[in-house]
Amino acid sequence: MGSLRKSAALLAIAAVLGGLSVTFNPAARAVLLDALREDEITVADAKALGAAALWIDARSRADFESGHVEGALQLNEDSWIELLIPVIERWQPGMPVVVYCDSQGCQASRKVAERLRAEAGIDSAKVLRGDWSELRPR
Amino acid sequence: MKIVAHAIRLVLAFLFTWAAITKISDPRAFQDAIASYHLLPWLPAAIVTVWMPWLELTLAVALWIPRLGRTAAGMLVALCSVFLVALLQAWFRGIDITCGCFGDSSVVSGMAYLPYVGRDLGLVSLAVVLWRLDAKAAPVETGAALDNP
Repeated sequence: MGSLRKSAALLAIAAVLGGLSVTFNPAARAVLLDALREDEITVADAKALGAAALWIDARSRADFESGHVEGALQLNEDSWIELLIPVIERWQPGMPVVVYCDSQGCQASRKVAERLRAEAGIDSAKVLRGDWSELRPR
Repeated sequence: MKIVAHAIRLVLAFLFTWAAITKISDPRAFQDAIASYHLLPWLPAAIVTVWMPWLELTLAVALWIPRLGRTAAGMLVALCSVFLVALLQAWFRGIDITCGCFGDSSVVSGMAYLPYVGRDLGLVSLAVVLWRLDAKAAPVETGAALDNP
């Protein structure tokens, strides 16, 4: 059997196993269905919260200063302690918290939301699913 | 040389099995890691998310199958080269990523890319050496005489 056929066979075996994992593993299936996670909030739902929510911008200072959601506080891992204090001062129990960064591909909002829940006890911290620029008035 | 080949095979099989298991056990985290490279649209990225770990596992197993070992080593060279290109493009574009390599979720940026690039270069080198060693050890098949007159 030639190398190309062997390679194709190995690729196909992996594809079959991947297909089986999607069939039997709900977490793998959720990847393909693009299901909303427990800690995520859609742009539409976040918009509906409006000023009732505490908005957290997890991007860099330069990005924050170039534009952000009205009323948002900046909080990122680079200056965690310094930036966390105003967040804790503003937050009240029961207040929804929406953390956003550049796009769905950026990881900063997820990291910040995880730390808010784990370290600051803000269990309502959710990650905005999508690009924050969709929240800008058009 | 046979001992060296088996040692390299052992290292690669262990690393790729480990990498595969971390990804299979938390596919959403791996999906996040792939998204952080800003390289693929959503659907291809989702397909890669569920397929890639099984490919790594398949290749790790195939390394030990005599008739497939050399092909698997060649495919690992290609796979690690793709990882390397993905890392380098993200580095040069100044993107912060999570590697997604071995279940590590720490953010990589700036000079922090260097150890990841170094590790990938090491994996490519190991796979190339194994591919070459397996070629020397392989029995002569039809057409091989033309390559080795």
